[in-house]
Amino acid sequence: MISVLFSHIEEKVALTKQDREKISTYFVAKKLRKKQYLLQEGDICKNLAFVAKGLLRTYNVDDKGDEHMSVFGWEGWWISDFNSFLSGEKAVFNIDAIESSDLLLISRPDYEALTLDVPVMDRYFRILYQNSLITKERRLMGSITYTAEEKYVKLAESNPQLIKRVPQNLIASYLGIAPETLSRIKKNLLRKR
Amino acid sequence: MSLLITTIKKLITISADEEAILTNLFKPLNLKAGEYFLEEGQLCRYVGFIEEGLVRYYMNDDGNQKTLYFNKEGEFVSNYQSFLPRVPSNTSIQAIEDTVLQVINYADMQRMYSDVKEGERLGRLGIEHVFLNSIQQLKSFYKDSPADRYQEFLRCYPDLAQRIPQYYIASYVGIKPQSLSRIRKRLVEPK
Repeated sequence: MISVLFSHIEEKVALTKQDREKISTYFVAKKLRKKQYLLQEGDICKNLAFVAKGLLRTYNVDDKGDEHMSVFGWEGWWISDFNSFLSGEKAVFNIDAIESSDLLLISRPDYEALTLDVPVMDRYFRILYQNSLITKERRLMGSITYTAEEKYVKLAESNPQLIKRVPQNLIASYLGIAPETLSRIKKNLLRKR
Repeated sequence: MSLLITTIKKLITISADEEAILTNLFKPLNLKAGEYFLEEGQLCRYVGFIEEGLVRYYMNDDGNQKTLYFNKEGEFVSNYQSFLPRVPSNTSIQAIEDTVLQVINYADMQRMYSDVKEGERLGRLGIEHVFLNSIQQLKSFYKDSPADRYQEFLRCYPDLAQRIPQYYIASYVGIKPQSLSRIRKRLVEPK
């Protein structure tokens, strides 16, 4: 399982054999069944999770009981309530498994210890945060400027695999539209082809 | 010692040589109140550190300036969404007091990562802080009422309420200046 993590890290920085040995001591493996929670709103998010296999989602529930999707995480992604993990505040998100999943967890103190022990991990996490900041900004601008159909097309182009694996009602929630609107959009797109 | 070096030393350990390298990589930049660190449409070329002064971030929203954020002395300032991917900025950053900065450009930032032993650590801690701020801002825009946002502003920036014009604070909170004075009255009146 840890080899998935190593190859993900090595896409961004080079690791020595010694680095790999050290890194592996900081992570704990965890399996989640489908629909099992990794985190519930109101708890402190104690771990950063790397998805070695499977698919998870981050979402919150509003006062009316409606769910709002925030992000998906699948093989090669880090998933967490980052605000809660980094600041120690209560989580505002729930995280649960859409498919049964294999995770590698690292705690907040171990995350700091790891970067001191294997300094190249500072570089790795810096690049990760930078990319995430840029993606977040694009998604925010996209949510303001794109139509629902444009948002769906962009998602389908950038993550074709995700569209196939994730139930359609969750895709609709992620795009901020009703499930009926999504099926109308998909029909329209088929007709255009 | 500059406030920049003091601040860096709180985050990482540096040698005397590295202190000299850092002092060389950052260049001084002085802005008068009203002048820009960055204008919408330009490429954000620097990450700045504020030795003295105050800046605000704003965006144009149908001809209205929407104030997004403030930074004051002891804090870093940049629009990373322009600085990192090298694309034009959708945000302006303007000095609202006379402001003294030390700035570093993209190429010198890469030199810092390679020439300062814990440079990458400084980068990771810095960007983590920016990442956290951006999540908290976004959360607050969606979830908090204007009164909550104003109180959160006072909590984070107790000394800034006196330094920032009220209409900028109102814009940051997301309301008209008149509504802000109503909120302020309610807060000072005993219940």
